[in-house]
Amino acid sequence: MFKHIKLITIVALLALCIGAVLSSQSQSVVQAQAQKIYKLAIFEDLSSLNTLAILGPKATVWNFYVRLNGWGPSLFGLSDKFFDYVPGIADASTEEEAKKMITIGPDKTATIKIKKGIKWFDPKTGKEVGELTAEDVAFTFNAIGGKLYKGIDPIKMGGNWPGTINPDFFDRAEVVDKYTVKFYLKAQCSYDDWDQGLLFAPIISKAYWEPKFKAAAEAKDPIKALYEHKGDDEPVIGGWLFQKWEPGAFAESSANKNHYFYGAKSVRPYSGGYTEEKPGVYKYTHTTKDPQPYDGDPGTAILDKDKPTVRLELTSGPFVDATQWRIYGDQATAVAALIKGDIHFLLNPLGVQAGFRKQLREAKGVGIAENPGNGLYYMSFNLRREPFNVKEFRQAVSIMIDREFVTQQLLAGLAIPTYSIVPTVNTAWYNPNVKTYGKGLKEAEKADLAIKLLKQAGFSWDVEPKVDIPGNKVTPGRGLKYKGKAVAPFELLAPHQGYDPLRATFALHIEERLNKIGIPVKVNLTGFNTISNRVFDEQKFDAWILGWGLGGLFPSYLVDFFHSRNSGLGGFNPQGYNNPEYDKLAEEFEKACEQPKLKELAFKMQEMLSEELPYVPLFNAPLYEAFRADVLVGDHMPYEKVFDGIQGTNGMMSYVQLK
Amino acid sequence: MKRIWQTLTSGMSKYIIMRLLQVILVLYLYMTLVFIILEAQPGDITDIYVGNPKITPEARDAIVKQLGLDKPIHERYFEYLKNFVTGHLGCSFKWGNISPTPDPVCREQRPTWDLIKERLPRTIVLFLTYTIVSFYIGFFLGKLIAWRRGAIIEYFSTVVGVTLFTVFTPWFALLLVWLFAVNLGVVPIGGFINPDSWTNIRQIGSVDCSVGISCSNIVFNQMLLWLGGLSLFWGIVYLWSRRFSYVWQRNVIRWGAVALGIVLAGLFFGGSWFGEVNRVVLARNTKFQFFVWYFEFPAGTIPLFPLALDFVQHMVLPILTLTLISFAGTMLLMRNTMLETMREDYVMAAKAKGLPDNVVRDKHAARNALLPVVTSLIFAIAFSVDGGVFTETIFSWPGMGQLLLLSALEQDYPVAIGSLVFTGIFALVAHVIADILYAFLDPRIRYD
Repeated sequence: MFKHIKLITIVALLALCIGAVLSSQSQSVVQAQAQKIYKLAIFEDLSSLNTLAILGPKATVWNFYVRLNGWGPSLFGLSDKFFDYVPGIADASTEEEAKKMITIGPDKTATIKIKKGIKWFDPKTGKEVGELTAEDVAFTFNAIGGKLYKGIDPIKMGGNWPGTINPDFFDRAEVVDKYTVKFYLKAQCSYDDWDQGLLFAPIISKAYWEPKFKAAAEAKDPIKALYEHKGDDEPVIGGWLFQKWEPGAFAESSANKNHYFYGAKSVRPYSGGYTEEKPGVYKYTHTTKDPQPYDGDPGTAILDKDKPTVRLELTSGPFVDATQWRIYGDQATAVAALIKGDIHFLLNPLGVQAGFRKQLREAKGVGIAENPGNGLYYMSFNLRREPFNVKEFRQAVSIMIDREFVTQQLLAGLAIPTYSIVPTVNTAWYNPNVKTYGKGLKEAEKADLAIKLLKQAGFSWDVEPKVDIPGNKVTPGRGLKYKGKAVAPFELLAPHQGYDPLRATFALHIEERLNKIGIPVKVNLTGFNTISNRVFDEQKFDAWILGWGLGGLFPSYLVDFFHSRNSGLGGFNPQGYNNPEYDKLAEEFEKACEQPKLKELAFKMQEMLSEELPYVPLFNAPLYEAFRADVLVGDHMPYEKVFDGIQGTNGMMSYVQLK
Repeated sequence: MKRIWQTLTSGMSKYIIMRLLQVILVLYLYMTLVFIILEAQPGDITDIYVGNPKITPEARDAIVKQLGLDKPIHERYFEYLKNFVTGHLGCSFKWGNISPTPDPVCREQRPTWDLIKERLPRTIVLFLTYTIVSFYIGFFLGKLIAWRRGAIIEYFSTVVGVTLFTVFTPWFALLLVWLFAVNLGVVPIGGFINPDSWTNIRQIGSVDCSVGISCSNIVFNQMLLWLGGLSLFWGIVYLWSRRFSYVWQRNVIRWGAVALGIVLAGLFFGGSWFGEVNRVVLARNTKFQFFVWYFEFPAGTIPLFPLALDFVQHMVLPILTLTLISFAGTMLLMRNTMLETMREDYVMAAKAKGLPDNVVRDKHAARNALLPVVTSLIFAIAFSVDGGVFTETIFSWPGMGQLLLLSALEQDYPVAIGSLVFTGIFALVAHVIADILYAFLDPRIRYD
């Protein structure tokens, strides 16, 4: 027997292992399989749970996707897909009522009523822990706005806070009664600070945060004391209760079907207008046929064939038991998981990379939604130096860039050529009359036009480039001079291929085209950090190519990027664009209250920018998003022709249903 | 006193002391170099907000101040050295506090050590397992192909091994993912756990691990503990069993120990059902209380076995990939040293004595050829703590490699520096251990 001890042991152990495996059906898996869990892939772990810190220094898109979902609406917000300006927790039943509420009076005050019966929920137990009242609203603005506690204000809190509660605009908030708050402001108008700032700010629970703010104010460093709270037990008013986070692996929120807005239906008919209603609880209607300024959808597709008069109908959920965010190290693995069916949606601010699209299109049961991205990729110059401060030089550069050729031929349709700062699909704010230098011209025609412009501005060459328009040929020139002085070779900084092949391709094209007409540019493809450091922090550069995610649809960036006050180190105007006429327009834009005036000013600013070209817009990248079409149901899928796509709604967690 | 001094200054002791002093100096230089290289990168962590016009320059400045990045570089350098000397690896810029009781130094930031503590066990389990598997296969094949020089197996193993050794790791890893995970569906695609297995696990023992505290790490650490404990136990039993003269006696002891270890581990990880058995035993006889307590913690009512099995399933593909890619290194090293050894006189003498081929190969040639392989193994084990950037990224294995990559890319200096220094310490210690082991393994080597 002992001779066979080895064999006996091995067989016994094998039997033990097999038995254990077979009998070890995890209860957890059984429970999880019984639930309807909406599974999304994300690509980075959470870096904080504290929602104040997430809107402050921990403002990563992944934190936003996961943690800010359950928080619930702000006073006002934008409707899904069409971006109508609609009440959130503010209590208005008509458009007129809402407008009256947000109109700041001559005494620089505004009184906002809030809905009755909105409850706070404990995220751990899902139980109600009180009602949202005016006390919460006033506390949010006064505490964060720097009116209650020493050492705490939006600037010190950093991140998104100064843009949300601008201390130069906000004075204080007072409770009028249990459901009414009065705001005292420092100006009668500031669309960005009020309509798009304070009224969009999330509301925090006074009962939860007040003791923490008080203790923080006593501490040596109040901001650190405030941000050091774990914050996972913060009450929420929305539809998701954050209950599980396994660092490095996944996070999960359970559905809260008791929240105030559960079951609310928003309807947008083709005839115009918008209705949002939860029968017996609240109703809001606006009848404006063309609800400016956020009619982002130029499409006319009938989304629901059974209701041909309804353009969009959405019922607020959640309709699943839970949402699970699975963390993947790279997109290739996540794509494999989507194809296999392990996940339902790839949640990524940049969408799906081009290389995976073909594979995903061919995969059974997978759908791809295409949406315009709310971004801008551009080239700019150091306008403090010659020859970049010469308008005609910039125009010549813009003319020479063949955006259509690069996007369609070299990039195989991965990008959309752009000539304007405001994306064309932002129909509410885009000015269709912006100048489109060189659009539709052949290479030789472009060169001819650019050379003429340069000559008019005082440029000359040692050897002038020759243009053969019928043959579409350009013989390169050299020795460019401005007013008799040689133009020194200059550097164009652009992200390298590994970081962004689109921008790198554009940079190489620009180098080749500009060199042909004797503009001595040399591309330096380098790391993003190097560019941002040299451009924004040090301002030691000649020209650069980068991109912006434009955030909301309201083009406040027309001021941020081009007002001369922002041209200092670290500012948003590192190119040093300084045009008093433009500054004046920008300041008027900041102070304007009414939509028509705002639009008129935005149009004028765009026209001026398209002429002056402190930025040479290059392209915009559409957003492709992949999802399991065979599992996700609802008449809103695919969710197309919408700014920022499905990720812009954090993966449509509130609407999604699973088969 | 004089005797102690003599002991310290003579032979091996002197050598060890000198090597330790060298290690301290090298570590200091290494730390300084790491600090300088990372600080020399353009920009800082707030660059991630550069593309967001909603975050104003003032808000970025506030973040810079909060993180202490506005302090002069020399101040930060001395702070970093001071932290290290006091056993603190600094505070992450990127990761916020997720503990109910914040670290007194880091406050709203997460301590680097906390992140390393979270990631390290995962990396160690994966890379240690792969290192051992890969070395064993490499050692075994190397020995075999040297012994059968010129046979088909030599050409086959060498061609396959070298081909895989030179293959582009991410491509090969993805190929295996598609083959085994997507098409055949026999292993999970990525990650280190299946969320469905863990979603309803909110508490293990008395630890609430619902949000932020990793339930999986509790089980992982138990696995590591058991792995280490069992290896030690088996090692001791193996050495002890050598005193027995009969082979069957040795076999009974050795395999009995293996079985005992596995059964005990199985019972422990069996969790609830074993807890249930214990409760029944407890109800009848309280003298087993100690065992009940021991086996119930940390399992509680949760069966740990399926959870541990979940890890093992997720480890299969990364280990397979890494082993296929890297076994050839050990195999060729072993083959070369074995070929050298086979020319030695004592091997000839062993053959001449009429010993069986496998005894000459395994006991006389292979054992003496082992020295460079052991050295290589020690370094591989030491470097296994830094994980692998490619492997961890492709297999979504959130270990040290991913942490290092992310912190370097996002300029989270304290974490990047902390991870590099931590790896550096391991590497330096491994060097010293290897040097000392040389002397023990080869009596001809002396460090006078």
